[in-house]
Amino acid sequence: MRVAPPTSQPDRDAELALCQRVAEGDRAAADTLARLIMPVVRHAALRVTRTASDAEDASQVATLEVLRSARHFAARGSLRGWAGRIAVRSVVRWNARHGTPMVPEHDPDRSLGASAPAPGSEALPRPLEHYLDALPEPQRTALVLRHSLGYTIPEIAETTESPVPTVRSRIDKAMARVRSAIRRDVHLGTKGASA
Amino acid sequence: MTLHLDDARWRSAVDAHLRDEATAEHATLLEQHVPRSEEHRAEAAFLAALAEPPADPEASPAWLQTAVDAYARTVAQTRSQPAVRSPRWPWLAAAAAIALVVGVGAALHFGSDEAHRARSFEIATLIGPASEERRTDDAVWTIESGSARLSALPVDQVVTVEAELCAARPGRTICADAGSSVTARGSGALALHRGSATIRSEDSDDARVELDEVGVHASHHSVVVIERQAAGWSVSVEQGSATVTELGSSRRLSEGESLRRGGRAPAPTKGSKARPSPKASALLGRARAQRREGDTRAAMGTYAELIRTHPRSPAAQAARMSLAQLHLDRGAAKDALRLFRAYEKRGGPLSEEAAYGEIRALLELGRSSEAKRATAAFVRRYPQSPYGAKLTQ
Repeated sequence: MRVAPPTSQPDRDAELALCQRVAEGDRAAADTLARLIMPVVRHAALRVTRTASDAEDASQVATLEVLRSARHFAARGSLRGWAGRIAVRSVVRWNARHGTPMVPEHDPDRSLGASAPAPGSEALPRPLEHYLDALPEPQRTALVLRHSLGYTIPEIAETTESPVPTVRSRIDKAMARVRSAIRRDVHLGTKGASA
Repeated sequence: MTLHLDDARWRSAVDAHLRDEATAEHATLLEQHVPRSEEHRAEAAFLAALAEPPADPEASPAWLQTAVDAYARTVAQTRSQPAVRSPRWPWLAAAAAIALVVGVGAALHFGSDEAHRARSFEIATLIGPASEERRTDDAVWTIESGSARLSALPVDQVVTVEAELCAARPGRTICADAGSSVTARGSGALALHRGSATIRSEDSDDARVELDEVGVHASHHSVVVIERQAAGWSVSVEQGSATVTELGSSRRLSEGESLRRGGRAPAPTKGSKARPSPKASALLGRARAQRREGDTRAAMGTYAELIRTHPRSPAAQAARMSLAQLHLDRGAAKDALRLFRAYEKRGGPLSEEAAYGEIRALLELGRSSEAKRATAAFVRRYPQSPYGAKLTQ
């Protein structure tokens, strides 16, 4: 979802005009831009943060950040891609500074933003959020950006302001933890528990 | 024990994909292989669920409407009044304002759904329009980013700052360090309840900070650092002069002078000045500017230089906290731990935040038993701390 299709010149002109109107304070244009980026904002916020309320706060702050940045849009790429990068970076920063720390139990409210059942998801002993919530924030963020949002390792390094080897290490550690938890659940016969 | 060779190769392909090193063979394996063991099938299910976007969102969630409304009102406010800007002391980035409003929520211990809605309201209120009186009132402290006025500090409300924050009135700026608590008074003064703040006055002689019964006035073209701890306070003049009014009597401080009541005085070091030098202030200003411009690496270098060259200055203590937080954000928990501990050893208005940072660094390093002990000590020492709930959850 991060990679937007190529944008034609008329589309770019329309996107530039939209951002110009946003910069001038046009509420309808701001609403249009906010809705354009809502899927990626929501996706990043629900996967990166640990609680439903954190996801809403991070989404709100990220949307504001994009709206405030609209005047800098230069149409060198698609508006959706440009705004998505700003939004994801904002969500990651917000979560690093203000997000709820790792807790043993995941927030049951997260079911509000739970994934649509993926093919074969019945094979997963517990909900996805259970395994994500067990990861330290830097590891979770790196794994989500890589596999859920499709970022490359250098892009993750830039977004999280971390060296490339650190990003790789975080992803390795995240997967090691997830595998360990899955192995334990499979061997214990855990199924469908929330924690 | 059953050995599933293809499953092992599939897992190698997963690792290669996650590390951004997948070959065409890996891609084929990932696409075609169906894991046979229960454990590998569960792992495949985890990856599939993680790649799947969240379920269809509400058509018009409240946070989206709040963000759009707040943005539209902020722009309208900006356009209705020319921005008051200082060419010499630039403003902090928008992130600081966001940190402030979030900090208000954190300080008020929001947690439930109802409280969460209230927090959203706080965000909207602070970023949203000020009253007509506030728009035309020079007594209002305004947080700005670039040429835009983002919000007005709420009057008579205690605000806890989670990141460095600068607020301005015409001709003067006050920057509060992370963890500080302030209140904007209707009179135009700023009350410092906890933490540290730096007054930078340019063409105003009414830059005033209150410490209960004590008033600190910075003169024209002055830089004054104020620290407040539970046991006392200190005022240091880095540039220009200031007047401290205490119990009806006033004392004028010149550049390089400081005044302290209670608390622990910094020990002078051999061959170095005990009082902050203008250079320390300049380094701190440079580091803040670099952060504002997004050059975090340069800012970290400047903070480190400040700590190295002026280790006893108040600015260096502030730099330790900022640099520690940056290290922690970048995954360098060991460096962060060293700096948090250095801050705690010297003591200061942000000792509580430093102790909290130390625990976070220990957890990041996987030193869980040390973190557990530090958490117990933290809760004993700061029983009312909002961080306590986070740590003991």
